[in-house]
Amino acid sequence: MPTTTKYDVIIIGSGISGSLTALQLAKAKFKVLILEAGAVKPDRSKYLNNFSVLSQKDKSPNLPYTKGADANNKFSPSSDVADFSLYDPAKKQFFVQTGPDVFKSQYLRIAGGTTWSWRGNCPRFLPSDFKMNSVYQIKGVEDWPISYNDLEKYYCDAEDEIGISGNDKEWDQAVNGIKSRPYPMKNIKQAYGDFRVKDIVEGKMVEGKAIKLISTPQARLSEQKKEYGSRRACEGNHNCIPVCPSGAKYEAFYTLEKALKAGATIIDKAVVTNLVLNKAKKQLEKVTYKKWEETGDVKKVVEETVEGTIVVLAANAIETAKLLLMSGVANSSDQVGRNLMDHLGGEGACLLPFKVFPFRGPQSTSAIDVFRDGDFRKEKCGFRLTVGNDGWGRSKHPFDVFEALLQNKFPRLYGQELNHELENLITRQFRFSYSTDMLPNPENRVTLSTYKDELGIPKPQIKMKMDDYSKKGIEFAQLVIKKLFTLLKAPQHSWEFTPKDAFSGSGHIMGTCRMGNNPATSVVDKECRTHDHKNLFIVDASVFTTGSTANPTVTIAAIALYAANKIINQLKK
Amino acid sequence: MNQGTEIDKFILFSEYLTDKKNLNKKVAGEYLNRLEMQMPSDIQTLFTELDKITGAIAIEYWEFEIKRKIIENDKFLAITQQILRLWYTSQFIITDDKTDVRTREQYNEGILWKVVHTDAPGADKKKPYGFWRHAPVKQHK
Repeated sequence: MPTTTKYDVIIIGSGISGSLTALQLAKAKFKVLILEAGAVKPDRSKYLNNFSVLSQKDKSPNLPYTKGADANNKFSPSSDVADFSLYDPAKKQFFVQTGPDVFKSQYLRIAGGTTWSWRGNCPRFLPSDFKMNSVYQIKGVEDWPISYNDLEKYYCDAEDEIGISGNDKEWDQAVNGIKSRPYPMKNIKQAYGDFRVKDIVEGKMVEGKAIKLISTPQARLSEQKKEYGSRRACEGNHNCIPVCPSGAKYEAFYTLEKALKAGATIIDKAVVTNLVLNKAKKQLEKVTYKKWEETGDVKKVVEETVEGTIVVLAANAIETAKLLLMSGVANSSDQVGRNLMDHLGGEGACLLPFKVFPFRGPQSTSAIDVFRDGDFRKEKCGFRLTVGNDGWGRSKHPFDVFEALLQNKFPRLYGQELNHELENLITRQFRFSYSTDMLPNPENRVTLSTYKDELGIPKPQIKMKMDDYSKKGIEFAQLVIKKLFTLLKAPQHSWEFTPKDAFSGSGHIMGTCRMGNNPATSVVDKECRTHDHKNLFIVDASVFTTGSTANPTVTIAAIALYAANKIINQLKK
Repeated sequence: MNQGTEIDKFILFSEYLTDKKNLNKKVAGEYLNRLEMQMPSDIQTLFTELDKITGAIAIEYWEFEIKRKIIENDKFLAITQQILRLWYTSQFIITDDKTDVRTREQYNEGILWKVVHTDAPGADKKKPYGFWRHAPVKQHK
C-alpha cells in the first residue's frame, strides 16, 4: 500500500535550483522534502578514476558519473553525447529526437545535478536580455515579466552562496553599472595565453565594437575561505569539465549538504511519476514517485506517495516539462514543453605565431563580451566569445594531433623530433568559441515519447530546428573570429571552423515553462508560480522567457533564491 | 628470458622511441603485459631483434642500429606505433575505433602532457593557485 507523509514543501530535483530553494526554506524552519531521481552518495575520487580510465573519445561530461564502479543508475539514466542524434530504436538513446536538427545538450541525474560536470562560468544576464521584445522589437518574442533590477539582489546572494570569483570593475561595466555588491572573491587569474592575445586585440575595432578581453566570473575559488568549507582554491587541474579534482569548483552538492544540515530531508533514487491534483483540479495534493534500488542483479521498485502544501519543480527544463506533461497539470496554455532553448555554439581554432601554453589552469578564464548586445540583435543573435585555454577545444584533441603525426610522419618522426613537433603544434593551439542567443520558438519543444525507460516512464521526445536568426548570428560570430585571427597573425592554413550550418550544444537547457503575465501564453507568473495551480512553483531554467547569451547557471540560482522568497511569503500567509 | 630482462629491454627500446629517461617501471611492466597478451608475436620478434643488436653491436651504435633495423622496418611498424601510443597517451588501440586505458596512473603518466609543459587534465598534482598566469619556462616566452 502507498504511504503518505505531509511536508510544507516538496522539491523535485537536487541540482542548483532545488538545493538553493531547499536551503532557504529549511533555514526558514519549514518542513522540506527533496526527491532526487539519482543517488546521493558522491565520490569525487571514484569519478576521477572513472574519468582517467575512459578512452579520450569517451571522456564526455557525464560518463565519469554514469559509467564505472558506482554506476547503478539504470533507473535514473542521464543523457550524454551519445544521445545527440535522431532516435534509433536499436540504439535506445535517452532522448527521442525527431529533428530536423538535433538538440545537443545533456544533464546529469544525481544529487547535485549537472553542476558536477559544468565548467562554472557565471556571467549575469544583461538588463536588455529581459526585454528582447521592447528593446529589439523581435516578433513573437516576449519580454520577461521581471527585470534585471528585480533579480539584482538575488544575483548577489547567488554569487555569495556559490562562491564566485570575479572582477567587480569589469563586470559592473558589463551590466551597465548595476551591480550592487562585490563578488566574494577576486577574479580567477587569467591564463598566460589570454594576456598574449589581449596585448594584441585589446581596443581594436572589429565590426563596430572596441574589443575588450575580460575575466569571466567563475564558480571556483580564487582563495580558500572558511565560509566555503573544505573547498580549496583552484589548483589549475584543467578538468573543470567533467570532474574538478580539488573541489574548488562549486557543485550544488555543497548547498544540498547545507540544506540537509538545516533540517531538510532527501529521498534519493526517487523518480517522480505523477503530480496529483485535488478533486477541484486547482491544487496539487500529492506527489507519486518510484523508489528504486539496484544491487547487482537484484532490482526493487516501489511506488510511494507524499503530500506537500507546496510543490516545487527543480528537475531541469526537460525533466520538469516531461513531468508536467505526464501529470497533465499546469498546461492550460498548451505552453508546457514549448520554447526549448540552448546556446548554440561553435568555434574557430588556429595556430598562433607564438606559444600560449594551453592546458594549464581552468579550461577558460576570459571572454570577449562586447558582442552580447547591440542593435544587430534586431536581425541576428548576440554571442559571447569564450577565450579557450584548452588548445583546439572540441575541434581537435592533442591526442588527435599525436595520432596524425604517428600515422603520417612516423618513422621519420620519433623521439626528440616528435617531442619538438608536438610541443611546437600544441602549445600554439588556440580557439575562440561562440555561444549564441537562441530565440524561443514554440515548435522547438519537449513532448512525451511512446518509447519508455526502464521504469516505464515516457522518454523525452525533442523537436528542434535552428532558425535564421541563429544562423545569421553564427555567421557574424565567425566573421568576428576571422578578423581577430587576422589581428593575431594566425596563418589561415591553420584555421579550423565549425561548419556554419552546424552547432554544438552548451548544456544550457532553458525554456519549456516560460514565465509571463498572461496565463494564456505562459506557464508561470512573475513569482514562478504556475498560473493554473497556486501551490505549484517552478524554479529551474524552464521558466526562462528568453535565453540571453550568458551561461545560465547564476541566473538559475538567482531565480531560485527569488522564488524561494515568494514561496516563504506564501507559506506564511 | 626472464620478465625482469624483458622489462629492461622494453624500457630501453621505449627510451629510444620517446627520448625520455626514467620511464615509470611499474607502468612499463603493465604496458609490457598488455603487449604480451594482445600482440605476443610482435613483441617477441621485437625482443629477438633487439637481442641481436645489443648482443653484436657496440653500445655507442645501438641507437642507429635500432632505428635502422627496428624503427624503420615495416615489420615492426604496428608494435612500435602501439608502444609510442601507450607512452604518450596511455591508450591502446584494440581496433580502429576502440581505445582503452587501464589505470589512473597510466593516464597521468602520458608523455604528451609533459612535452607540452603540463600534466594530464585531472591529474590532481595539487599545484599552487595561479601558476597558469605565467609561461612554464623562460625560453618559451
